[in-house]
Order: sequence, then C-alpha cells, then structure tokens
Amino acid sequence: MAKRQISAAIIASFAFVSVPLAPLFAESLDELDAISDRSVDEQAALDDARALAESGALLEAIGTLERMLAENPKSRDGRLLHALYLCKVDDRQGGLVEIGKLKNKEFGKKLLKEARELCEAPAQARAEP
Amino acid sequence: MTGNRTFTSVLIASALTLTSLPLAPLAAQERVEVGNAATVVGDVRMSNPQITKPQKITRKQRLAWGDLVDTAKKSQLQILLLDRSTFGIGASSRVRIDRYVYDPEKGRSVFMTMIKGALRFLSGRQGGENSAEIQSPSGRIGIRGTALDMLVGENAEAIAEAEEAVGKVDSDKDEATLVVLRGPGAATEGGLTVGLAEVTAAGKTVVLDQPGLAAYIPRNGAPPIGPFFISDPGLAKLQDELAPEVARAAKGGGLLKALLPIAGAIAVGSILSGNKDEASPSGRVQDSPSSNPTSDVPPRSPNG
Repeated sequence: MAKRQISAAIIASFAFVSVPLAPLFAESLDELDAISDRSVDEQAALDDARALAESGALLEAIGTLERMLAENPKSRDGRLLHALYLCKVDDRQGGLVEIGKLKNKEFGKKLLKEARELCEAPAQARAEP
Repeated sequence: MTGNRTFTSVLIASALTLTSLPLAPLAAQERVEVGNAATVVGDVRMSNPQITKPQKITRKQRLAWGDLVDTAKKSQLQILLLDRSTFGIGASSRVRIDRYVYDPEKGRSVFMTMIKGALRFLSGRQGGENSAEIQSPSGRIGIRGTALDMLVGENAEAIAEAEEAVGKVDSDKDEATLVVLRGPGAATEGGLTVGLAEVTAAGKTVVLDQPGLAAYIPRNGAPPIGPFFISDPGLAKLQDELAPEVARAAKGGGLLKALLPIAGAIAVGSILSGNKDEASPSGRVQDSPSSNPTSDVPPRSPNG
C-alpha cells in the first residue's frame, strides 16, 4: 500500500464513526453500567473511543480503550489507537513508547513508521498531513 | 433525566454538608455511590466501615465514599466516576475513595487515598471547576484537568532510583511515591485543559506542568525530588504496571496468535479506520485542525 494510503488509514482511525448506542456522557450510575457493558465488546469500545475522540473528549477516549484493553489485551486496533490518542493529548513520549512496543511483524513496518511520524509531528501537521 | 438531577442534587447536598464539617465516621453516614467498577480483571475486593471483611467484586459493582479497593496479583480495575473521570488501578494495589462531588453545571472534586500500587487518573468532562487530590503515604498530589500516573511502593522506588535525576536515595519501600504527568500538554488537540499536578511533601511543592515531568517522594517526611523528565525505559515500566494484561499479552507473544491474517496493508488500514468498506483515502473524514498553537511548543525543560 502506498505511503499516502497508509497515512490516510491512520488518520481515518481518528475519524468519527457514528455509534449512537452508548451514553457517551454519563451522569447516572445506570449509564455508567451501560458504558461498562460496551467496554467488554472490542468493536463497540473502539467505536465509542473513536466517537469520543472526534468530539474532542480524548481523555475519555483513552479511558474507554483502557477498559477494553483490560478485557481484550490482544486488541491490535486498541493498542495502536491508544498510543495515537496519547500523542493527540501531547503525550508524545508516552505515545512513542507504546508504539515502540508494537511489533513490525504484527502491524507492518510502514504502518508503525507512519504512526511514529504522526506522533512526532506538531499537532497542526497531524491534522493536515 | 429528572432522576439523574435529583441524584446529583442529593450528592451535592450530602457533599456540601460534609465538606463544612469534620469528617464524621462513615459508618454513621448514608452510602454515597459515585461510580462503578467499570472493568474488573482477576481478584478485586472491596471493604468499607460497614463491610470489614473484603468482598470480591465484579464488574458494575457500585462504589461509594469510604470504599477501600484492593487488587491482587495479576488483577486490575478501572473505577468510572459519574463525570467519566477514571481511576485505572494496577495489580497489587490499594486505594480508597474518600470523597467525590459532581455537579454537571459546576464541576467535580474528588479526594482519593492511594496506599500502594499503581494508579492512572484520567479526568472526565471538562466543564466547570474540576479538581482532584490524591493522598499517598508520603505526600499529596493536587491535580487539574489531567492524565496522571502514580506509583506507591517498591515499584516506585525501583523505577525512580533508576532515573538519573534521582539516583540512589534513602527510600521507604512502603511510602515511596512516584508521580508522572501524562498530559494534556500545550499542543493537545480537542481544546482540553492543559494538565497540571502539584506534588507536596514535607512543606515543599513540585509543579508538574508538561507531559513526562515527574516527581519522586522517597519516604514520609522527605520533600519531593524533581521535577524531572522520566526516561523512556522508566515510562515503559510504569505503563506495564498500569496495564499488566496488555504487557503480559505482548510479552507472551499471544498477540500474534490473536491477529487476523494480515492480507496486506489495506486490511490493516480498514481495521484502523473503523470502516471495513473503506479501501482508499478519498472521502475519508480527516481529523479537525487543532485550535491550539503548535509551532511554538516550548522545549522540554522542567517548569521552563
């Protein structure tokens, strides 16, 4: 895949995905329980995290992924997204350390290189590659 | 929603009453539930003044003021609070929810005690006045709008003393406290409040105001050392303490077995995008530009 496409793939991983099922902003204990239920499901949690990130709630997106990863520690998408969201809150060191733990043979050398570059770039460049 | 508001009002009324008085024995108070155990892995137990023998808890267990939570080895927990702030608790940890007040219109305040282990705090909703305070055996950490990691005990000592800025010091294995600010930094996206933590011990306060800045309190009665930037190896070890399941899966090579066959980069990209039908970059929604200045991000110098 061309570098451009990989780049777009990473950026698209930040993109909004319409998932209206979860109460993204809880204010009751019942809503917290519903959020917890969705964390068990890898795909639902990934969708929620993407929607939260798109709305700017990046710390909540990270928290969502951490719930999911505790239950699904082998989630490849979850691990990469978690690292990239750290970069988006300007914890570039943390993001790069996590990307550094991802293996080339699992993620692809080019993809990890793109992820690293995206993390190292200033925020504006991350938004407009 | 009316029910929610009523609940919140009760919470606030209870909190205001109690904040104006010395803390009464919790046994005499009504249970004030403020969140749940959103994720439970392994053996996690809860006790409080009413439940003196720790009881094993499961996911969605409601948590309240005064609850003391213990995680065993190879166990972890995430506490999810009403404003969606989270406390991620690593293995062999013990924390107590001392007090939590949340008003969606006005903000949130939370007081926790961390007795041992690993903790990650991620603040939730950004509106209103938000504050958090965590007490450790050797110091107090005041937090504003933050992602913050914290270790108490032997692991804090081991990681901190491996840092060049700390070196070998007189640490207590039960009281040693390491605090690392993780963000958001000045170049954060999403318009988040830039994170800040104040680490106070023995009359001295160290301010952490950039991601990666750390402070270490070696023992009760000693002032914090720092701020200093934690090294990559130190941060990697800290992350492993906070996400032991992920660390174990990665080290055990289990990740490979769990992967779908990688049929080329397009498949990987599709997985990442969350849109399985997407095969080309055209038409993809791109990330919105940051409203924060980015070209003048300050260099990494503690409190510089």
